[in-house]
Amino acid sequence: MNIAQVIVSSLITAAELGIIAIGLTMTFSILRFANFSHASMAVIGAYIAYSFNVKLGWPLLLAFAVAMLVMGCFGIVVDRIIFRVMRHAGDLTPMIASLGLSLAIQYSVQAIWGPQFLRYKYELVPGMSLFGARITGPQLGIIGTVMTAMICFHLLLTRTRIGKAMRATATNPELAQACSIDTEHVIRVVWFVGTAFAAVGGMFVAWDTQLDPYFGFNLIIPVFCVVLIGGVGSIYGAILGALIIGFAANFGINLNWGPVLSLFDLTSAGSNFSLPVAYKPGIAYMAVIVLLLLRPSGLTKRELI
Amino acid sequence: MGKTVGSLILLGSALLGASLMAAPAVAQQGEPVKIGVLIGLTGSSAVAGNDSYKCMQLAAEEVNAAGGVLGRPIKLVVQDDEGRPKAGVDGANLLSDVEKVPVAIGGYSSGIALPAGQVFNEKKVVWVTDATTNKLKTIGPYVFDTAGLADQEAALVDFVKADNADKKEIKLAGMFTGNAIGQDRDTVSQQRAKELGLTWVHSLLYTVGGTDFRAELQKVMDAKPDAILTDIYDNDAQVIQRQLYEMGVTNFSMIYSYNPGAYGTLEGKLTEGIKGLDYVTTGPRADAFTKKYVAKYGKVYTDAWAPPFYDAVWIVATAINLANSLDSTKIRDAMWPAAYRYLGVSGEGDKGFNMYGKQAADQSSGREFKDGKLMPYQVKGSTKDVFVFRYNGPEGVPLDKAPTDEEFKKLYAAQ
Repeated sequence: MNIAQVIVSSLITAAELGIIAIGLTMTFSILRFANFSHASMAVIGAYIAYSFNVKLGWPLLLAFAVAMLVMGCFGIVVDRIIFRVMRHAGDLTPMIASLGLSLAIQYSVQAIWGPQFLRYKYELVPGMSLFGARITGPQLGIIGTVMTAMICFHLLLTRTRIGKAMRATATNPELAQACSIDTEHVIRVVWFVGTAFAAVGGMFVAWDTQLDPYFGFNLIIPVFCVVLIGGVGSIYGAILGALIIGFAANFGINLNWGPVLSLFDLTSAGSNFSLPVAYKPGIAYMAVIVLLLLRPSGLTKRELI
Repeated sequence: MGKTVGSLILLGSALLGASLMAAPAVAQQGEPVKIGVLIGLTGSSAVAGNDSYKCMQLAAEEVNAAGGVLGRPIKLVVQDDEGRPKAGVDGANLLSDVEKVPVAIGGYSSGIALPAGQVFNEKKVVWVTDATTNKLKTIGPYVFDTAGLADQEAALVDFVKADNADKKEIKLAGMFTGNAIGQDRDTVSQQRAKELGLTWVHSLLYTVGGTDFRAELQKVMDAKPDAILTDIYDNDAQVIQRQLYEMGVTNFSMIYSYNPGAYGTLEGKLTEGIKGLDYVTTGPRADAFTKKYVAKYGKVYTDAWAPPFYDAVWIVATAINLANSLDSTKIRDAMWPAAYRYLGVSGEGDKGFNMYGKQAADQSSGREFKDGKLMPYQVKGSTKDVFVFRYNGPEGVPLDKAPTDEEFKKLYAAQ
């Protein structure tokens, strides 16, 4: 097993899931409902970037940047039209609405861009060798961008007025309002940042693999697993959860389980046994079950920071 | 006066009655005969699916220009299987129950051809595919194939051995789709490798339509094979080759494909050196067919398994005319004499069906990618351009008439 390569693959998976999960957990922290349409925002963002890059011929990074801003605004519009009217309707109603929105988005994407697989236009280069692993420029860019985004978000939360307002709203929205914090403005910022982050995550997944209308559906469960492991509502928990899922899934299918199985007489001593790659999602879900059995509330406390 | 009026009324009624009787006959003469098409216009094998559908459309135009079937034109009623078995089954049910087609053609992908074939066979709709999984022999008498099956094509392993004759030991790995045809390829390849004394080091059955194959590809490369046998779909090839390239694999001459056409839409640096065996289109009518295809669509088809669908439409049209009926069982029984007498464009022209309704022989030819183009390739020292693989025994004999019901019962009871 090439450990360096497995670490690289794990970091890429963690970065892609983590940035999407941050938006989801932030929405939950402040709006108090599970937003099933979050992964679909990742899909639309990826397709909008495709239109800018391939149809309009824009450079890829410019397409990503503009698509991110467009999606941030789209998140605000979605909140204004759909979720604002459900502010005081509990958590079940907006959750179900988000599920419907998710399906509507998936089929709209298919209707607009078609069901065929699509790819961004960029120059393909072989990966560079890094401590025995192969990593491409885009993959380094994905990891670096996500780390930068998380640092910036931490600074936003801890060093800015709006960040303090977000933390206050997450802790106690009524008290925050009583302290003259404009909670609706905070919510708009949360939707903007959360949806923009989801879009960035979607673009990175599509850049690293390819675009298809169903990839949001394939993302939603791992993203929820990340949030559950890390602790619902915790940004740092989401990062930790993404790392756990990324490493568990990649190491799980690359490790030789023969020696472990031979201890239970399931294989002969010295034999090699590795899990088929089709089990990769299953390993992630097993990790969720094990960790939630040990810590049902997640690994970190439920707070925005 | 009264008699005159009465006569006029009688004459008018007779004329009206005659016109009413005539009208349906005229409408029936012009009403097209629906032929179902179930093919992947989108999804994992969309490039091949679209090529295949174009071949069918070309054949349908020719059939209609030649007078159609039973004096009526044929109309292709298409359902997109999207490369997903569930969509394929839904499409099969729709074609059978709603469109009520007596015949359906398609199923480029074995993952679609098998479940759709089960639907069509159960509903007694003739199903003509060119998928290659051996399991097609087990479904039933309404399933036909206009290209060879996997066990006939294991000679790719022989091709690899001949191409690496300078090596004392050859280590092989397989990279196939995680569906029926992929499993067939894996089984027959390993078996043939064992027969030839080659070492099999790794098998990968990947998830069709997946987006990230790096972990799987890493395992293949970690096994350090001298040659990798592949059978992958065109959309998956886009991702797999790109990820291999990003992993540092820039020399693809170790890849030998059962379907090199699947790499046909990739840029040159992702395909340089890939070799394989392609189903041939070398029948006496092949050149004329290729010219007509290019004239109509502007470029040649990329997938070698597209032309058998052209032959499928012609065989079906001939069978309907021989049966002189749209009853699917009569059409089924007429498929054997139709194919026996039809001179095809794919293979070497011989499209006769054996007792299973499958090809008695398969014909392939060596290919290699150079500068992004798929070129003919001959192994050093070989003088053959076309390899013919005929089944031994009765399975290798094309029949000129359908088996009897008793024979069908024995054939499918034994599966």
